[in-house]
Amino acid sequence: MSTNRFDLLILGNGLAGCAAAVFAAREGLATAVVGATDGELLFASGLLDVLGVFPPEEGRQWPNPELGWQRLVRHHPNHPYALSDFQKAVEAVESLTDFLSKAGLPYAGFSRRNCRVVTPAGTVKTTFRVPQTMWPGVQSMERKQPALLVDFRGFKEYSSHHMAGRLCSRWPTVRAARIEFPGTSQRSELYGQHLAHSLEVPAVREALAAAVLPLCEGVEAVGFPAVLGVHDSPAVCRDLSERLGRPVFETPTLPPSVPGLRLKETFSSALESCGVQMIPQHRAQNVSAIEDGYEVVVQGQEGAQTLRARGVVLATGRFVGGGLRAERKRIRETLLDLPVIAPSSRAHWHRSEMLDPRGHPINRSGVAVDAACRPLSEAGRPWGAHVYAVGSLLAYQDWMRTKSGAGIAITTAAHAVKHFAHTG
Amino acid sequence: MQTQVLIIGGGATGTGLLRDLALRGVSCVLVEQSDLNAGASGGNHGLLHSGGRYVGSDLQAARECFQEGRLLKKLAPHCIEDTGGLFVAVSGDALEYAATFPDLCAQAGIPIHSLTPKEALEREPALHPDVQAAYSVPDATIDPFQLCLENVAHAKQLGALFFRQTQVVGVDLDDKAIKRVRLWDRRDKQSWFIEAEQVVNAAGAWSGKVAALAGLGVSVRFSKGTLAVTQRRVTREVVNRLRPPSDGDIVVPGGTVSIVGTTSVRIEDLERIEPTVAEVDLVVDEAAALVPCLEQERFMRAYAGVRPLLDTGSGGSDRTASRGFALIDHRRDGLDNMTTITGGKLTTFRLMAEHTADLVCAKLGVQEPCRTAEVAYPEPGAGAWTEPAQAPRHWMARKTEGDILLCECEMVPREAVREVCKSMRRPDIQSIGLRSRMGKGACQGGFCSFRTMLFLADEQGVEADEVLRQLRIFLQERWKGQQTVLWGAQEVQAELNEAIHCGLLGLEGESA
Repeated sequence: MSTNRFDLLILGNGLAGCAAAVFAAREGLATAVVGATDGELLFASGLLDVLGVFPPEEGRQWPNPELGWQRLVRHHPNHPYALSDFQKAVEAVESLTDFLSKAGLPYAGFSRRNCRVVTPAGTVKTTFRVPQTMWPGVQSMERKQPALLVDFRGFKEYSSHHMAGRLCSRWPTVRAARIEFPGTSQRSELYGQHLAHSLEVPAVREALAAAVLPLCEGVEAVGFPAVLGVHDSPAVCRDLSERLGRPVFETPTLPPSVPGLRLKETFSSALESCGVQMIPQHRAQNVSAIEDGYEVVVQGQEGAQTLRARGVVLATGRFVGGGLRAERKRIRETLLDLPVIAPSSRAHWHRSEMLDPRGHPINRSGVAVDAACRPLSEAGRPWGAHVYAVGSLLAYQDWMRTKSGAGIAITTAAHAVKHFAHTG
Repeated sequence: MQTQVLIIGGGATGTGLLRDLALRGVSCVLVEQSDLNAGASGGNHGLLHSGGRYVGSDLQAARECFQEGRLLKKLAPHCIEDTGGLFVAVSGDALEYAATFPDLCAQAGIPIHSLTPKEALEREPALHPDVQAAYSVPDATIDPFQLCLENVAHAKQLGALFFRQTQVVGVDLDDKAIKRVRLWDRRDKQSWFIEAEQVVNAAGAWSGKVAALAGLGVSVRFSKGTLAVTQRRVTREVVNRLRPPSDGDIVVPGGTVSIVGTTSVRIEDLERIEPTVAEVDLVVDEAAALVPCLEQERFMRAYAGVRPLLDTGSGGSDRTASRGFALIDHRRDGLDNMTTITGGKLTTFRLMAEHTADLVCAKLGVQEPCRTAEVAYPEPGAGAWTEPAQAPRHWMARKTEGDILLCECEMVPREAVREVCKSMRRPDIQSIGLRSRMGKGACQGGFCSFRTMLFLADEQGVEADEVLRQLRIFLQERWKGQQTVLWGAQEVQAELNEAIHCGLLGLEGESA
């Protein structure tokens, strides 16, 4: 490792951590990202939500997220969105998608409006930005174009037949077809990553197009599960579009997803090439204040090392990410043992219906922060002058029910980094 | 439809009676308002009692348990794991009970062996090191779902019929008998009738409600028992606390998991038989005194069963209430062709069925004797896919080209689900789950229910909205089990499941 001294040390390499690193690099800060796992982003869908639904108990979807945003911050003054405003959120998201686009992973969407994308359950999800490879599908559904959804025998978490059946009233001209993925007659189970890698080979695309073309009569766009390449999915899509003579698009799959893998790989290589030090598969053990900043002990398979930085960003996530841990009697913040906002007893963590539209009280548990996104200690003061908490770790938000995970991650990351850059 | 005997209730007693009557050549039909083992027969720890647990309260029941257990081990070995069991006292337990235990077991005819603490710990290293007294007993475990599926499958081979999701909603009476029974098909939303010469109420906790439809009073008390399931198996044998039956005093292996129980809480409302956080914590804390590692184990789910207890009118607690059974000939109430069988235990279901069938056959004038004490279950049977090791075995042997795993935690291949579907009319996600290991692993249905949904859409022609409806019901059913054990790794799993089903798929939304 070249150095162990940074301006900003980001703990967590999910979307919030990576976004913070992008913004920090833009500010010219010497930055490192410590990732506990090989990347929580594998569990991301690849969609960037800002605010799809509010309030969850009404299930109200917002074609214009700005209106929803205003209502949300009025009702929930503690919500992380209340730290910022919609305009700043859009700027932060666009700043991030610019970065991704330059790194070969372009995103698309309406400028300030939400768009709609079909999920593998055949439901329709409201989101803000989609990978550009999904965009023709968004447009095709909106225009009710005759389209064909193709899936592959043995790719068991995706059925275009079911999706088309579910969409019949919204998108009556969509049809489904199942084909054998080229060269897989001997294999019974197919995995997205394998398909995505194999589609980077032109001969495989040629064979796929040859199998699909005869099914395309009267079809104006062709959709596939999101497995069209890993490293240059726009090129794979373009090539298939040319071969099929009509736009080709992807639709999201269940995790671990290929669009999530693309995010992970794009972030890790592009951040490295702009000077951010990536330290994957290390878990921060301990943070302590020193004279000119903080000392963080990180543990990897080959042992522990001590890193120093003037500022620290906790982007450690919730239960899946490991930033929070549920014990039988309490919820713990795992790194600093920060106070956690949560219902007092486990009996009140969850509601009796899993799909209760109101969401579970535990979803809003997490760490409370001040106006600069700094987590508060028991005394109600910032734990450290330049220690920040961003993303899903924050309390008072339910990203799963309001469809706002990426928005919260990106907006709070931008907010925290800006504060640090101006004051640190 | 006409039949000689209509049985109401698809638990161990009802399905056991179906098989018993079918073996005697009697035509019979079983109706069940939801699906197999929805009540006490499913909500228990799957213990095939040696009887040791009852020697302090009911010697007769203890004796019957031992005899029936020995019989079932011979006749249905594929449903049973002959684990053996221990009764163990740890420090703090009153040793007076331990001192009388051998003598009580001798009176009940239960063979036991005294173990030194060192021997007990060698057999079960997970025990609390401070063992005060220990005895080994012939406890075993039984898969109640496999058992009931086998009962039904064998009876169907012999000509009997089984209708699930079929509720009894009324009876037409003449002077002294039920003329016909009105049924409601909950899926087709249609009513239909069965004319039966004899009607048997084997509805367990619901038997009072069924009797009331015929204008009869059957008094049943309900006791709720909560059990919690660990992700791995923590003991090889059944481990009982050597004290009078109480909360959290038994740890029963169940294939690859352990089941920790139980509580006893009187309830009135049968519609919400769900464990609470306080009950789960009580069970875990108490059982950890016997098997300390339970404090650290990952729990996958908890569930509650409702025991119908005989109201003997003598007062006393539900723990000491008789676990024996009652056979009520409603001729005493002026209704010639109705019988209620209630109370009892999983271990003695065969004996209960035998007594009931004897009475019903006498009323029908049928002379055939009971054969369930000699005739073994056909093997391998319909319940095979509920067995933890069965699906992986099948998968490793790879009999079918092109097969895929629908459930990766429990290794349930699509071929197994196809086979399960063949045994039912209009299979759904829930009923597939009941008849296989699908959804029972660590992910608690997070991924496999989605795959099974798509299987039903693609192969069984189930419509898109309908399979999504089934997915929601299945997820909720699994949720009920997890809700009280969501800490540690299981909370991580729950969050991931919610991120998928709500965050991405939006299943909680109106438009979904």
